[in-house]
Amino acid sequence: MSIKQIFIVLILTLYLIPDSSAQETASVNGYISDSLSGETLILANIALVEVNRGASTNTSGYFTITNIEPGTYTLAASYIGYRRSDIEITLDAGENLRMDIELIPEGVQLDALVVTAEADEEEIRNIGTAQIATQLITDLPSVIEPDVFRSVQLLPGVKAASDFSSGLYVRGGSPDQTLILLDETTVYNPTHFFGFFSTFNPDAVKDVRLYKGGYPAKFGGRIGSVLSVYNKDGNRIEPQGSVSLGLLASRASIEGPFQRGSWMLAVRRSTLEPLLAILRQSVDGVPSKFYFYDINGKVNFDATQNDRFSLAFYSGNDSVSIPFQDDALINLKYGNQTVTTQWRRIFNDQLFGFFTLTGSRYFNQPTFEIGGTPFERDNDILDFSFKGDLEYIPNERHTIALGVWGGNLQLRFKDQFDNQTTFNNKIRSQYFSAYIQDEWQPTEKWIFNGGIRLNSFSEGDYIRLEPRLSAEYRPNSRIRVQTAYGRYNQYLSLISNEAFSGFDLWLTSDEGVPPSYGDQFVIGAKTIPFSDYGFDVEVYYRTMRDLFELDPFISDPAGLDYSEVFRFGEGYAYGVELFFEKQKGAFTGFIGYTYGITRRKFPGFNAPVLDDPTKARFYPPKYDRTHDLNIVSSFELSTRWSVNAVFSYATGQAYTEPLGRTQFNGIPWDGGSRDAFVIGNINGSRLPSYHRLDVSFSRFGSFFNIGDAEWQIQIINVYSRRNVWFYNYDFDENPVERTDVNLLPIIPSFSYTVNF
Amino acid sequence: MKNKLTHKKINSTHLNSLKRFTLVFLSLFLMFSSCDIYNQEDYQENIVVEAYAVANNPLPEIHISTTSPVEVEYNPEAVIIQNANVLITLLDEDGNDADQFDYFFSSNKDSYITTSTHKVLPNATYRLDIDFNDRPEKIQAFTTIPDQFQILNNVPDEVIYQSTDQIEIIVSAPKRTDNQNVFVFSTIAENPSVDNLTPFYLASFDNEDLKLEDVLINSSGLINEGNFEVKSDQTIILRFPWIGVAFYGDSKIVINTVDKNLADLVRSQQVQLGGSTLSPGEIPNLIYNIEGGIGVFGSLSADTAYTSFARP
Repeated sequence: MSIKQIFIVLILTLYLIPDSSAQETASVNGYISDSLSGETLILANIALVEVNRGASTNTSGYFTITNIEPGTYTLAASYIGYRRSDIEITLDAGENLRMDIELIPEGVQLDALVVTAEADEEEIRNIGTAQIATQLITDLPSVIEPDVFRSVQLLPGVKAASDFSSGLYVRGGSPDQTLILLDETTVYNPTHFFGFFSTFNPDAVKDVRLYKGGYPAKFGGRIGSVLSVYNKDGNRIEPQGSVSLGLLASRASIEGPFQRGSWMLAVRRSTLEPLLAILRQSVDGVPSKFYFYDINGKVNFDATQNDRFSLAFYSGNDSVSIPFQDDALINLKYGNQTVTTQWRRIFNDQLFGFFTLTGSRYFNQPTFEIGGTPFERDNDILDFSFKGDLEYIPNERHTIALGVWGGNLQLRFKDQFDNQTTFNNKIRSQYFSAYIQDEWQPTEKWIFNGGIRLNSFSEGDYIRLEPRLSAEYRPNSRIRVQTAYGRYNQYLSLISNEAFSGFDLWLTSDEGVPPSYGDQFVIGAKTIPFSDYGFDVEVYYRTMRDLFELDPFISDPAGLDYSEVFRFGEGYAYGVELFFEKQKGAFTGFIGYTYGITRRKFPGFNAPVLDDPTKARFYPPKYDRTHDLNIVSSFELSTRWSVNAVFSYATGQAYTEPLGRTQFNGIPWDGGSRDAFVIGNINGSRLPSYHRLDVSFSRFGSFFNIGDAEWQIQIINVYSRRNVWFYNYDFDENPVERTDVNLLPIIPSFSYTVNF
Repeated sequence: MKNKLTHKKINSTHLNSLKRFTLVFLSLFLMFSSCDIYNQEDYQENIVVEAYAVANNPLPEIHISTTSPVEVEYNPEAVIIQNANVLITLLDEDGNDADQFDYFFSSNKDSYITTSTHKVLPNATYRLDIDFNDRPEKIQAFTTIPDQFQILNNVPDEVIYQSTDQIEIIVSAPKRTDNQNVFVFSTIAENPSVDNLTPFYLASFDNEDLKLEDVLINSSGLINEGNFEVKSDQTIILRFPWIGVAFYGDSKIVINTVDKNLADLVRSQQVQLGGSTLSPGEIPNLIYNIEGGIGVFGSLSADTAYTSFARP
């Protein structure tokens, strides 16, 4: 029997499972949503007060509590920023009560800065998991646009490569080691503006959740972490919208109900053209065309009380054209489109299912034409998949989740030089994964979660098994000690340049290119030292094996086999993360600190100059920062004014300080000489420490009584610290001259947002 | 009052538990902190060798010098080593010594030269040995000379720059000394002047990004044989890219095939200058293929065609 058949049988079995307790006990289930917008609330808390039994809503806002003795209970629902709802319910033997609950927002805006609701704490307090409130994303000071990734970068364990990069470097992993899901669909290009900020429009986003490591069997495909973003469903009560004007980009969104559902549309576009037109008057090399946009949309249709359908799409595109001098032109187009259709079904009070069809298209198409010689690259991904996930709750002790994910991934990597194809690799691979996991709570104090995930990738015939385990011990109501282990595999690798992500290149495993894999070990404690405060500690260790990336020394891949363009390496990372937060009140915020070490090793790279060049030593990648501290605070000055501040400090990044130099004067086809450095340890030195303070002031008001308005004034890098990005060495000077290449100076900006 | 006391007691218990956990994590933290110390090394002087053997040409001159610290002024004459013992050995097909050539230092050339009239043999392997009377280093390197190839077709006397009639050069298939041959094109103008610069190079010159001497010999990067069409008779059709033309007028087109040592040196030097996917500031050493020192003992074969690039 094949794996697919096993799962089909399993699913059917679950579907047909009789409710064994139905004759004696009762259950209650339903959706929890916002009373004003009808938006379902992910991971809201629901409990039967008298018997101290509870649950959280899932990613669809659905909950179920089973095996309840008949009787009368108070059903309490709560969520951050909402009034608690207490409803008296009476359950008869065998009754399955459907109870959809609407929570009323409290209207206290700044309480949303950090997650505070107990239910959400339940989820956040799972090891390796963190959430960013959507309100925080728009409140924080930001360059150009409020940014999901920039906000995520403030969490402990997540590092930023530079002011210019929104890439997520989670627990020592490179950005491609984070699986990015938008409404369950893989996003391959998550950034605009050469990586400057992420493609997720904060107006459209409902929920952002980062699984930093040790994540359960439900997820797979990356050896590092998972960032799951859910867009809004759209207001189910009344139409509403917002318009936000910024200096360099603007955005608008609109949403509303229809008879049996809702819809949402959010668009964002750069508005750089006027600035570029002015610059072109006096500066050479200014792009003749430069824009980006993204569109998010979603339609929801409630077919029956138990069946909900949704269709979501996203399209993001960047386009730039730079005629940098006579007879020299660079064109660059890249982007991503996704589409997701989902059917969510409540089979019975114990079984909930998601069935999802996804499509994702990534493209990166740079072209150069210099001196009459064209160079073109085409990197495309077409990824179509099916997902089926079931949540089965047989009793109060077990929550079983199982699912499958299969699809077809087509990747093309094509180079053309002087109108001739020089490298062309097209990979069509069928991938399949299946998982099953059980969360078992044998006593009040212990929770175990065990699972296993099976992956297959047809190109290269790879089949990998991934065990996942976690345990939690609750000595009392304010402390949780947690540990987790997991093995993870990755069949994709992103070739990117931290300085400029416009030429990103995705590559896959194939014959001779085995998938990367790694193990993660996490142990931590989540505590509530005082009311409204949280203090978490996590220690992690992870390995990275069979890392595959384009060999940087291959200047021309023509004539090489696919496996010959790679280098294969390994790495490890470990660290300690501390997170202290104040959750409620006029003054809220958090302090996140990470002590982290990351090392990598590739054959022939970082070998001692006189030793065997096939040897290698571990080295820290540039983004390795030993100490990383972020302090985020928000203060509500009055009902009209609020101020937000972010202070960041980090150890200087690793760089290579050249030790010696020499010169080659006789290369037969050279007219001049070639200089070369002699290097000791790659990245064996550190740039000066990085620190920066950003502040924003918000003033809330009314827009001609049509809607609410918000002025936001922001100052990035208040004291204009000239943080160093990297050093540039100039051989034209003798001795060699080193100059600083700096990161962002002080940048003031403002935006105006109207909600109607 | 009672509630307050109970609350205090719970908080105290919680804090004690918290202290225990904090101690455990602090211990782990300190354990981690003591690991993985990674600092930069101190500078050490290295011997630098530079020699390029060209098929069917006399044995190469050998330049021997030392590196110098990056922070001091680099003086090419000051780093030359004049008292090395230098020997080149021709190896037979079994790797045994077939012939040896003694070298001595020539102060005129600041290099080591030989009196031998031996012509470098295509496809043959040569070994370079260097030692010193006053230094401990022993240097050894090998090169296998690329096969001699020939231009087989008649290259047109004149082509119009950037016309559809791109120059095609058909060369005999050189025997491979590595997985595939690696080519370098060089264009040497007979009358290089600013007035004769083609538009792209003229714009670079005007922007002060380019000096005229930079393109007197205008060479491509390394180009794999895989870029070109191989005909059924195994000859190779090379399409000469327009980017290689810096000057209008009469020009020599030199086609080189290079050995692995030379290709490794050039491609890794480009990476060191930042032309790769490495993060800015992540600087690797060059690939040298020399034991006991750094530098290159490389080789190449070449043939030349002549044409004239007319203004469009």
